[in-house]
Amino acid sequence: MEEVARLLEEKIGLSPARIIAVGAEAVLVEGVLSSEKVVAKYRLPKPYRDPQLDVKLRKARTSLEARLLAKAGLLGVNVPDIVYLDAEDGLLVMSYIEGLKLKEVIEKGSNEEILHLLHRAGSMVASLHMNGIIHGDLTTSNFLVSGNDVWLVDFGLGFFSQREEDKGTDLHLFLRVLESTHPISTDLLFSHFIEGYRERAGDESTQRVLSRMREIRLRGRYVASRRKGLPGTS
Amino acid sequence: MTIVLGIESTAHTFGVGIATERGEILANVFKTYRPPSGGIKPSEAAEHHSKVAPGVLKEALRKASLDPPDLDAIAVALGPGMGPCLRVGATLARYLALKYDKPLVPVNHAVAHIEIALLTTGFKDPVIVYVAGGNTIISAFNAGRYRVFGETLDIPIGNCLDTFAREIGLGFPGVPKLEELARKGSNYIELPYVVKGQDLSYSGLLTYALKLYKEGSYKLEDLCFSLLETAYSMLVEVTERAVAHTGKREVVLTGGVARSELLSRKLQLMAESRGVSFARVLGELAGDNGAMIAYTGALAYTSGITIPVEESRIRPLWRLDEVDIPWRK
Repeated sequence: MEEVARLLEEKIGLSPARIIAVGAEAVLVEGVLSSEKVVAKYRLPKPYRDPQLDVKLRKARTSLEARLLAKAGLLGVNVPDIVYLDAEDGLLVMSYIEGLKLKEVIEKGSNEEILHLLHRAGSMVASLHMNGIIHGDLTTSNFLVSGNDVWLVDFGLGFFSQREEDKGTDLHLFLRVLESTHPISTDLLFSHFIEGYRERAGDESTQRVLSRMREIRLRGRYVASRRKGLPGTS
Repeated sequence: MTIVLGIESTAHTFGVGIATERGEILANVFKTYRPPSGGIKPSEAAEHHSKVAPGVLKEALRKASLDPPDLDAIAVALGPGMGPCLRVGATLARYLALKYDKPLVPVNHAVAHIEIALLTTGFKDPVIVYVAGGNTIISAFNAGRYRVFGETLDIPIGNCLDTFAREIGLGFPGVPKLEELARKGSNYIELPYVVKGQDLSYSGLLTYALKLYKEGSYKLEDLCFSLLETAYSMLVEVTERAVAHTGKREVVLTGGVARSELLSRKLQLMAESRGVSFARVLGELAGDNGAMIAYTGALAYTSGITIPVEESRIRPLWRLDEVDIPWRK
């Protein structure tokens, strides 16, 4: 991993380059570029993928991520600014967001503060959805808490879409993460998230997206509430 | 020491195993239904199970040198799975429990695949990749249950690959033959690569791969290579995401598709690149079997889990993350 930091020093003059996270998708390296603190997201070639598939995925995802960030920023959603882009090489450099992961804050923060943050998170996701941006990976690790507000990072699996199906899937994935990572307080957290969403998106579209989300959840395999009325269950 | 007999009949395999809560496998006998053509018809598989059940049961008891009165409990996989198949195992389990006055222990088939994986690999707290003809689940233990971090939104990976193999005339099980063909391919053909956060979708991949096969404009070896490359890379990617998200240091592969050399090599590469350990279930404990039901039943029974016969209905849609796991902290 250290060679990634060196590579970025040579390539774009990032210094001092320090690895802050080795995510599933990419390596995150922090450093200073033109006296601004930045994060470089570098999508490494994956050893388990065939190089032909690997190059396609890395290039497409890096370029799309940059476009999503740019549009989200224009909408006034709290996201990092783009500083430098080299999609061919899977490199995206963004402004640095100081703060903790929402996941960590939930694990140790005070209740009221957390619920406010969830409310804000819901409102931001609603803004994105209303403007045709699907984040694609809403987890409590991808919301950063800075000051009294949240910032949304990692649009690496995002895409542009106005379909309710995609909005519903976005919310379904967030609920899934709450269930698996914060099982005890899932309902409380999600209801505040949805309140924030509703305030922004309005009652009607929120209801539509939520009912689509429920439908999506029922499509999963082996869902208990689908049992009713199914033959062969006695 | 607790000795439990476990019955598996959720899909194509009817199996009886005998095991203790310490993980000694005293017997593991099973017979797998092979459809004469096409996929598995649940009613025909169930008929097969009813026919082989007495023989498999006797053989398991003989191998363990035990008689039914020596057993402490009868465990049965009540789900998830195909209704008609599940009913064969459940009926036999209820009969044994009543006839020999033994407690009946309900076992979730997916939990059993996980427990046998932890037993045989010695891993303590891994990210679990459970892949089979009927399941594709990435899971990890948290707060008393095996939580689902990712799963297929439509068909399981084993179903996708088996169906493709069958449609191109490779027969069942198709994965080993697909991998053989894929080794001769090298040109990647772009196929639907569908990862939605932590979840996967395989139905579009199957449909598109079959469409390309019927059009005949690509070499079959390249198509098989691209299909496996896509299907497995999607799975490994989601697994890596679960590892990154949970911070767990181990990855374990279980279920029928755990026998895939190509998939385990990819998971191994991913694990090495993250500095975590990887292991998989090998041999006959990878696919459906009775021993894993017996062992999980023994764990459950020693934690006080039993079910009255009259409440022991089958649960074809029993989710992994609905099951409390009191034997793990």
